[in-house]
Amino acid sequence: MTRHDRWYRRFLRLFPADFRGDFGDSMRADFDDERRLAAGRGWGAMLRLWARTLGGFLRVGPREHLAQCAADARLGLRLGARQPGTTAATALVLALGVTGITSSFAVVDAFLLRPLPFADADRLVHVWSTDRPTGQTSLRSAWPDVEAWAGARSIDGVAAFNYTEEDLTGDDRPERLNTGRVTANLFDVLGVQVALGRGFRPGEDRPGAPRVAVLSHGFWQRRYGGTPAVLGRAVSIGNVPHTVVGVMPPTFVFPIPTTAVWLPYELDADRYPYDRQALQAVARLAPGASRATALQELASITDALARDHGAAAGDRGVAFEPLRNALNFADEGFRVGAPILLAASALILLVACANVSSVLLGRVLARAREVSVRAAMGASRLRLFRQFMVESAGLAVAAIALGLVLSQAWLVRMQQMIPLELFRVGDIGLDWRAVLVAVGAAAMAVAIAAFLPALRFGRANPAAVLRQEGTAATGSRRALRAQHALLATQVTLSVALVASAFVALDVVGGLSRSDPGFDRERVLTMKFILGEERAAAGDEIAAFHARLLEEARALPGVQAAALVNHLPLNHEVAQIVYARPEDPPATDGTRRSVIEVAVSAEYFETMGIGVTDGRDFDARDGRSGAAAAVVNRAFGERLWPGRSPVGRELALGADGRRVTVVGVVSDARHWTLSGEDEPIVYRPLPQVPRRHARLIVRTPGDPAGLADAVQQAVWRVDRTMPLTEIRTLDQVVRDFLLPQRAMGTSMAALGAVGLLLMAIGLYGLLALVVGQRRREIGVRMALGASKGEVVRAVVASGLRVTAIGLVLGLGLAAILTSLLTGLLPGARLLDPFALAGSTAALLLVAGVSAYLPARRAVRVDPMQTIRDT
Amino acid sequence: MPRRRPEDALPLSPPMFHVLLSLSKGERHGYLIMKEVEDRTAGGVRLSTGTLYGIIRRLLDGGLVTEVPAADPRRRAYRLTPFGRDVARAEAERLESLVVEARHSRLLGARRRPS
Repeated sequence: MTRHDRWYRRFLRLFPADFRGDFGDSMRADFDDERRLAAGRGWGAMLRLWARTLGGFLRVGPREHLAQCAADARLGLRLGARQPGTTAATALVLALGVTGITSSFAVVDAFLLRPLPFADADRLVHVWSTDRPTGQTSLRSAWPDVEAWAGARSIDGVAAFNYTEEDLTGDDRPERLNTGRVTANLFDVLGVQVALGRGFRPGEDRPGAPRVAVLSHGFWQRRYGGTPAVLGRAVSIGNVPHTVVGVMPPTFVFPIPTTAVWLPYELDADRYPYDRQALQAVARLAPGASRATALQELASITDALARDHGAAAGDRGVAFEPLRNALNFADEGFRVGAPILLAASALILLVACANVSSVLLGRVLARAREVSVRAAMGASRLRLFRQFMVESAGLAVAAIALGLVLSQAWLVRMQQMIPLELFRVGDIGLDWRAVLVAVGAAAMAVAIAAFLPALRFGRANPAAVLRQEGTAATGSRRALRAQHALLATQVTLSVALVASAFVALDVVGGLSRSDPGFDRERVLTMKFILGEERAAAGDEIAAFHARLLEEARALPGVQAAALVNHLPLNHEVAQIVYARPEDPPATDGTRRSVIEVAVSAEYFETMGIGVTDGRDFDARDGRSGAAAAVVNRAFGERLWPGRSPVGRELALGADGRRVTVVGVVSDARHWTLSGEDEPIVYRPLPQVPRRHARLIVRTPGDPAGLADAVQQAVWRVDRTMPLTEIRTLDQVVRDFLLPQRAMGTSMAALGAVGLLLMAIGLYGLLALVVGQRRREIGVRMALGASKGEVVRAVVASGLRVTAIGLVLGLGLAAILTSLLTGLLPGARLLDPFALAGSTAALLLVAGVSAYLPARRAVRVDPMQTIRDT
Repeated sequence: MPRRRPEDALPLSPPMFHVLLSLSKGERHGYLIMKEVEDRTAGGVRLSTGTLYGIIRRLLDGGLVTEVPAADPRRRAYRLTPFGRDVARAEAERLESLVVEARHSRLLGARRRPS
């Protein structure tokens, strides 16, 4: 062997192993001849020969690899076409796996992953004022604080905002708009540009400045047909004329996705005094400034301001929250739900992997001879692995296509289930990232699936396989064991999935059934807002409310009517600090707060909340009456354990205003449906007038049928009053549970898919096994075994494998559900109902899946089977 | 396998046609093919071993040539199949008709000018 030959052999590795096997020796012999000839002609000829040879290698080698892949793919398609049922089932399985992970990713992406559509979003923080004595964050800040923070060197600007609703009036189509109240610098702090016109100018957020508005892109398109002529137009928002000065780009979402228009605040110390924490604040950290530095600087500014205002320095603190978390009300839920969803989807994908692997293995076993011959001829495990992967490429492509279609359909459904107000970036839909996830998931699944058969055959003793004839080889014990192991894996994962799904459903069901403490049936609710110009006068608001209630109560079919500022279980809450007069002055961590709800007389009757002690609010609790309050049982018990709260005094709010408890009502849920009782203090609405309120009416009949009459009654008091969120109380509660229901539905869907995948896997395997054992079955039947015996034997072999998977799966389910109980409040550990349900479902599915191929096997004539095989 | 028409395999790449031309004279092994092609084109087309066997692999897969035992055990020799002969003929006819076309449009004279 010459040096040239050694090098030639090294370079031959550029070709696929098969090609080398076929032509390597000839090529070396030919090259040897060429080399001898060139050697006679000198070094130049030798160099030219090598250059030509290497050029050819570099051109042809990769092409041969590609050609081989194409041939493998064609083989895969041919083999797949031979068993259309199995192939379609496998593609479906893989598609479902792809769908799960892709649609889960798309949801998580929109809510948690996609970068916020603001410049350098990682430098933006939501600033919260905290109350150190109660240890609570108010989520809001006072204007003087925000104004003072702007001077900090460690931040590049701080803006304030809040979301509210205003009515757009002045033409024939009045409508309620979600509005963002903002400081003039908000767009600058977020680093966004207007798409049309201009943003707000400095000073436009002060009283007396011309009133201007900037529209969202969606609202501009919908309401004004996207015409640029909208700039300069006067529109009446909250009964105040505003001039439209700009339109934001479509990607801009702030502070909630449904915000249609941004209006500047009218900020001054009178309207937004030090005690009024009503603004949300967003700050941009200066380049190079750390969060810790900025937090420290803002805290010291806050302290200095507190001393100026005579407040105990140190009561008011500052905290930072990532902007995304602060903007999404349901952020906590998503952070719990997202990993659960993704994990469940990954499990589904694993089941699909095991399934595809099992089908590939089956296919390989059916041509064990060919594969063994190839292995014997030196095809490496890597080569076999690649061959199996490429063979499944068609399967993967079909699965990706189908998976994307299914994902899109599922996401459209999810979109309807997730409230529009939840902050997300972009749409919940398929973008290139989601497509990438789909492709990646399918590729990974196929790679994992191809791994096992390659391992199995790379290790096989080819000589032993070659000695046997085809059918004998396919029936080999080891091959069957591999198949059974794969199936057991599928069952294991499916059991775990189904059990987890049952736990999730149990949680949702438990929440839906749990008693909110009020009667949600036969109550209609609707929302209205009094125009801004009326807000200043508490007497006017009270008078309006009184007339409204009078009209509503006069309606036939109305049993009771009332007003409330915040509906229960509607993500609306206000907290107020309280103290008993006999308590010592609050020190750090001892001040406490309670949920405060402002209600009119007859509220408790309308809601079906019982007055257990004292009295309901009535005419005595009007504007000029003594300050009164009603407490719920939980709050009364906390204040004066074992004694009646009626007649006792309570100090409410930062200014310690004294109110007298006039009644006690039974506990009703307000903020959550689970967890500890919620202490609530109710205040009479006339004494704490609110612009935003809900009208609620109880009827003995169908509440939805009353909607028109109630609207007419309101319009008799104010003809221009828009009414929104007209819902039954039952609907309010069901809307409240939307995220949990979405989660439950997703988990149920994933559990069902897991079950389906297991059924397909079991059916596929037993069909294969029965196919392989046809001869044996034929012989048995020829020897007198009855059909029933044979079917029983086949079904039993399927159930044995299922049972092994079931035991392992229950173990895995125990681990998963214990994780779930940690994450989902209200989840019960290894609920016996869930376990029995999933076990029964699985056994049933397994039995049917095993029965079908068994029945097919005994239908054929035994002698025919024996002759054929 | 359905019967394929020789025309479906056209056009052939020039090196591939050269290989078929060589084999049309009888069985050859690789080195001989390379030498013949080189001689026929006066060194204009020189196949490297990689290129040649890439072509042979495709001709074998397409059923245009078949393998026959060679005298030298290290080597393999190849022979045209009837289908391969049909393809080679069809390609020659195609080239001829192109040349005729070129004459009609006076790209080529009656006699070839020395280049």
